[in-house]
Amino acid sequence: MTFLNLALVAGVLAFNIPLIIHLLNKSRYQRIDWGAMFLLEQVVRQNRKRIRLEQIIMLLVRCAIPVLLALAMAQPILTGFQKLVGSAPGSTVVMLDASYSMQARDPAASGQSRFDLARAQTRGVLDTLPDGSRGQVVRVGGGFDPVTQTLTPELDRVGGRLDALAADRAVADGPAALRQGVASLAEATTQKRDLVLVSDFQRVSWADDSSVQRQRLEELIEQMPVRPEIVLMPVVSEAGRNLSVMNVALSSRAVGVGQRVRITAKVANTSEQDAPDTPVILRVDGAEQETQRLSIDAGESADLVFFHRFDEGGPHTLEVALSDGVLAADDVYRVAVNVITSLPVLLVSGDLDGRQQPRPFPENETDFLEVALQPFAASADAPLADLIDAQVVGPDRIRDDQLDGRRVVVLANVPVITEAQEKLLRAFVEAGGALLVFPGDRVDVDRFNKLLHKGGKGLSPAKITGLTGDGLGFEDGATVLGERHEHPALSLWNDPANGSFAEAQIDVWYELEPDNADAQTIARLTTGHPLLVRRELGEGVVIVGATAIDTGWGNLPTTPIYLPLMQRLIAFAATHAEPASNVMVGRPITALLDEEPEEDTLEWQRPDGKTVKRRVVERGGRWLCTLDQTDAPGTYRLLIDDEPVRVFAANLPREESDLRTLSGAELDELAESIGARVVKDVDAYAEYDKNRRHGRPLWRVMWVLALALVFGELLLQQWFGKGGRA
Amino acid sequence: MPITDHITPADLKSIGNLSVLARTVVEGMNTGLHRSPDKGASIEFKQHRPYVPGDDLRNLDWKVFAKSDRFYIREYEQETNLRATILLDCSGSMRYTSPIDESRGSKHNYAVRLAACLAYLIIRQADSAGLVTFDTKVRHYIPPRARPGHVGVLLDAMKDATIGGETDLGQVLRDASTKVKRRGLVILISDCFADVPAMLRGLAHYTHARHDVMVFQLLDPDEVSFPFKRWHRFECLEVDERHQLIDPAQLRRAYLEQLEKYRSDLRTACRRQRVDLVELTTDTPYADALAAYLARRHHLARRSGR
Repeated sequence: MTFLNLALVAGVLAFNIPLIIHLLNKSRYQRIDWGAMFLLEQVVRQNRKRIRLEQIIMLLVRCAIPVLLALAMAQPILTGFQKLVGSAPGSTVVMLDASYSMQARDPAASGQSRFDLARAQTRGVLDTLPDGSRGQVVRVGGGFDPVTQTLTPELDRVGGRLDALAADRAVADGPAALRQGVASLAEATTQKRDLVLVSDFQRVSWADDSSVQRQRLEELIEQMPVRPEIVLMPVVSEAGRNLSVMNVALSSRAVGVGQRVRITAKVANTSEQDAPDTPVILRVDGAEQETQRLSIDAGESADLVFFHRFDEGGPHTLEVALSDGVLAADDVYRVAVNVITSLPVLLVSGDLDGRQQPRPFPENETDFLEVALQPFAASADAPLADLIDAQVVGPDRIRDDQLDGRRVVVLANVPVITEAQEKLLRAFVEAGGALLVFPGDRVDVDRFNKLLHKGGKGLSPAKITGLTGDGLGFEDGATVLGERHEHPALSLWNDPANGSFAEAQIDVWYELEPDNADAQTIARLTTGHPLLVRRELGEGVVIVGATAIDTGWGNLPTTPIYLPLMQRLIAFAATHAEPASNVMVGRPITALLDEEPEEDTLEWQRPDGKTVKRRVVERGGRWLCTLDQTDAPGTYRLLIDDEPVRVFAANLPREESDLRTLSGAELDELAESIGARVVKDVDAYAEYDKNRRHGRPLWRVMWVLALALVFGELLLQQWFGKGGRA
Repeated sequence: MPITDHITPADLKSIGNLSVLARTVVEGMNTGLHRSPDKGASIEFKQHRPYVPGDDLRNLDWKVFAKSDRFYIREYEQETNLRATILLDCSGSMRYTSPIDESRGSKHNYAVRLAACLAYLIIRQADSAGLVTFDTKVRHYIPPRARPGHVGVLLDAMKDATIGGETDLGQVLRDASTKVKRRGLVILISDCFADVPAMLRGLAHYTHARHDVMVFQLLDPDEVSFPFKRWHRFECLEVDERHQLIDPAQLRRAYLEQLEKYRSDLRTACRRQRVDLVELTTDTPYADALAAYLARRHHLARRSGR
């Protein structure tokens, strides 16, 4: 409580005036000789108590009138805990939710999107700030992107930039946004500091809201020299029917020319309305290929399967799209596919040691693997082409010229390699190549450990510590442990419909001891021994198996899982070094170049057509060019002179597709927990700001009260005059 | 004391006009105007009527019998004088003078003038008028006389009447009744600020003695409307040390209700005792008061068939 005219508060002493008048009246009475005393005495006797009570009430009312008048003239103001003077400038950070859910349009409303409303509210908040105030707008979604780097007094400039903003960001993290906003206010120098969060307050944005988060925010606020006011400004909009393409997955990691690729699109209905007969379109390189229709009930999801065959190698884009008219951002899911014409693999067979003539099928160690990698090569009229181009050689052919151009080298039961070969292979792996080692009966364990493991410093991620099994029968053997596989090469068998590892029996295997540091066991035997161990080395990867890949130590090559397992292992190994060409918005994109480009910088083309240049850096004999941030969904292209365009795709995370927002009660509860205030719109904010600055004026109330008491005094006088018992 | 000390010329003029009415209503503007209900012992011949058996032979008119040889009875009207006694209250409460309009004078002042008017009117009608003044007890008694010079005696007595202390009206009326022996008209002029039953018991002495009783209750307009606004200290006119310091506005309604209750009781009691009650305030013209008196006397006279 404060007073604009503090001096007039002394006027409350005027309450004495009626008291004095009362006492004067009583003392300066008029004397009168009265005849009808017997009547008067009776009346006084009967009404003494009433008269006294009425006199006290009247006195109180009369004393209250000058007190109220004095207070009203002193212009009292009900202020909050902070005393702000009039139009003192302040610092305001507006955290503007730019996550793509803000694109949602309420079909029943004016057609404005949530972001249009939020932008208008942001502008309104900036307009209410007094002259000299500093403001900053920060876009929230998949991180934070300030419109101006610091708090600036040029509010018009900030407001002008709002028009260019779009809601195309990933998930907005509500608690993080509040912390970021508070941190942004740390540089403020004014007494008044406001943090305004303009958002649709989607449930997903506050899924991580917990007491820990709130405590972190409170701790951050406590560190501030001045406690900022937090204002939550929800954008009110009804969510309509929303469908979302949640994900698009290809059947193979490495897609080759002429191969039939299965494209699985997951479509979800994230709204509370059923979606009947919705067309879903597959586009390849922008051209429509196929349309399927599906109906999805509210809250359900469905998988759609498309098939496509790429006729040409090189970069391609896939798009699965639908249209729901509410939220366009999650209607399209893009996938960049680098279609490879062939995958050259060198199979080194220990059985060819010293002899170049191949043994009759299937005596050679790599026979089963060769067939598994090139299943169509055996059939002249096969409708499909083999992606993998495998060449079988003996250990002595591990040479520089043989490794050149290969993506994968497989050492199958190779008894011994030279140190020079080891160096060659190390360089090959470090440059991005992949090495698969499957030891067998020919392997000299000691030399293996010495040359390839080197006490943890060699190529092999695991040391061979012993041999288990004698190959006498299945009863003593082992199978692959049926656990959940995280590795992409094996994750196919997480679904029992795709077969089971239990069919494969391993009779004999080496006991591998993985290095603790960075080796990863990607499959185990039912005995607990590692079956496959991998480690990244340089840009490449090394995978060591515990058993042979022919039928000598088990029946794995004769089971149905052998072919897809080997195909996927090789494809994974071959594409391991390839940087991801599909990322979520906000993540960087990196292109790997085989040759040094002529220029130091390369040009990236963003989805909106604008281009930016980024430097090329060398790493491990290869060259990388990275676009540090993808801030919008769409297709990104790397333009290199005399080379095909590299294509990358960025998609928005789908959490934002769930348009449900916090209810009013939940929002109030949130505000209460963090000491914030919820204002519905700009007018409410202006009123709140005004009341906070100037306080809530009380003098009108006091004038009215004083006037009411004046009338009340008259009425009481009349009423009391009528009262009394005869 | 000249009568103009008490009665203004305007009052006298009004009274003069009223005497026309008085001549027709009041028994005895002059001697004989008072028609007596008694016949016989009188000098005023009324009529002859034929003798019927049982008539007193002393009333036979022998001269007529000698002339006409028929028996006729002579009838006479008895000539009487009205004996009116005015009881004038001179208690302390009659001293009240309004501080709001002092030109009205005190209640006592008005009572004296009213009594003077009545005495003048009565004696001008050749009736007898007497006076009793009292406060705590009877102070003066002047027996009724009909001679014109008696008016001066009465007025002098009124002038000399001093206002005294507290009244016990019932007791005083009882005391005064021993002095008013012959049947006649008793006129009480008072504010009647007394215990109503006690007062009525006092008046009963007169009604039992077959007096006609009239009560002029005289109040000041202030006592009827209680118009005071500021704080007042009301001091009793009759007893010292009795006072009330009050805000009159707070008690006005209660006072008026109390007053009305008192007056209602008085009216009821007077009606029961066949006492004529005339309620007057000191702003009422004397003529109006007398008119009310005469009208009421006329009404009563007709009712009694006299």
